[in-house]
Amino acid sequence: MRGPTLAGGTLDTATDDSDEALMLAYAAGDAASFDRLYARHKGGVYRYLLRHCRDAGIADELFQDVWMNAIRVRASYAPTARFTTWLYTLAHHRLVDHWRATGHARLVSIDDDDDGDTRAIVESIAASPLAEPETRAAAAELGVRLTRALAALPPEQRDAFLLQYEGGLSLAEIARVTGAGTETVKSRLRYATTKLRSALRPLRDT
Amino acid sequence: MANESDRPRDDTRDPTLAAGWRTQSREMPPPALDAAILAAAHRAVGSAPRAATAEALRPPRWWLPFAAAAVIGVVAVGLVQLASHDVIDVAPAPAPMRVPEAVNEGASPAPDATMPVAPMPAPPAATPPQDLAQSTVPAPQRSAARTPTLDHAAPASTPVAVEAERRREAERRTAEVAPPTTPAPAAEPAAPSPAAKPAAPAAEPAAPSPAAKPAAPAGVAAATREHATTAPGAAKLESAQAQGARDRAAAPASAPAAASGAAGALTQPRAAFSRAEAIELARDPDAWLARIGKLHDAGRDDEAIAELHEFDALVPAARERMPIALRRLLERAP
Repeated sequence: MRGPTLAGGTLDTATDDSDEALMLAYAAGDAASFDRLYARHKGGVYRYLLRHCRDAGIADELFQDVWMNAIRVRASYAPTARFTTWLYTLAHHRLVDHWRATGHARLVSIDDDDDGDTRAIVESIAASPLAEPETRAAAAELGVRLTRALAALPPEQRDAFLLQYEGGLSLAEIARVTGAGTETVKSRLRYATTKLRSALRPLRDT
Repeated sequence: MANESDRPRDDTRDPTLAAGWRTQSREMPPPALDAAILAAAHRAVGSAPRAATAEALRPPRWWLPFAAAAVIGVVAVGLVQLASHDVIDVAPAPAPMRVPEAVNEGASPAPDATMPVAPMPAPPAATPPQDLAQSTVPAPQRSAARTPTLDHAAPASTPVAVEAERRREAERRTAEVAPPTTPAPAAEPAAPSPAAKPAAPAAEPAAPSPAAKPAAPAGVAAATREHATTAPGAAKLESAQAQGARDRAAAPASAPAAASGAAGALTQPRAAFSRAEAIELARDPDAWLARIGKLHDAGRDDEAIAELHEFDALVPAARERMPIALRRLLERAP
């Protein structure tokens, strides 16, 4: 997937294969363009939601809502940014709505990531029973540890990590999606990476 | 925004972590969810694709100019027709302009009947009695009857016609009763009454002055006659009243005075006793009986019998009021 470039404030969507061109084509009535877009981004969006929710049913519901919203507002789509930025913004907003509805309102600009709780979570990951030697050899063990370590991350760090690793967004794009500053996003990513490395360290050592 | 410099640096993007993440993170949405979303996406563009939308918007674009042109044409034709009507109506302008003047004058004297009056369409239901007049009067009079001046004269036209009829009848009776050489002063029909003149100056058929002629005397009289013929019951009553009026014109004195003064007139031959005169005399039955008695005494039993018949018909309990001689005279009468 070739990313578009900015040209005079708008993205250069000259390539017909770009996400932005496909979305414009779909807004013009080309349903096949949406099929291609969906095939490209369905996995990342789904996992982004699933890692946050940790519930397949809720993730399915949110996933469907995100794409339905994209379909509904297709006419107002303007390629002022990458399509993935726009798409993950929809997903992020839907996730925030879900958290607010369920009482999880912790996604409000917590920049102090280096608190004691985070450190304790990382330490608890390292001391997890899953780090036993007999299970380290199993390939599935890595995924379980990552999942657990990711679930133990603060939502903001998890959000930044997922946007970077699942959506492929840059620091600026993550900042745009989440509404935080670039340095804040960078800090969140650093802390998240450090914690996850710590979770994976026993596996590396073996 | 999406420059390469914005990409996460190596310290934030751990290759080992990325590889491990890619290895473990492979979850995908359920196929049913994929199908549902794709179907919704296809339905969304299938219901309102851009091409179809353009086709849907195209018809208003081509027929709008035609519709606007048609509306403008209709308006133009209407205006032209209205303008042509105005030209036609303006041509005979002087004649219709006089009619409103007559309307505005109201109580002022009507214009001379000989003056040409342009026919003016009147509301059909405005003056129903004049529609009756239109069916009987000639065309010129009908046009005069249509003038709005008659609308003001119409309520008083019936008494006027009755007065005219009364005067004619009085004149005829005077000619019959009085000797031609010595006409009675009270029965002078040619002398216009000053009191009656303002009331009905136009309805005076025997008026010698043409200037005093009404705008539509014939129309009003014809309407009255027509009305009388169309309503038999009312015609009888009107006839009786007219007869009484004729009698009053012939003898302007009051009825008792006429009854008391009739003794002098009894010596003269008189015309047949009329119902109107009987009605007038019935106002004072005693005086009437005295008059009949005098007729009987004078040997004019025919007249006495005629009046007795009228007396019997008009006066309640007439037989009880009659003296025996008159009652027997009545009973003997055929």
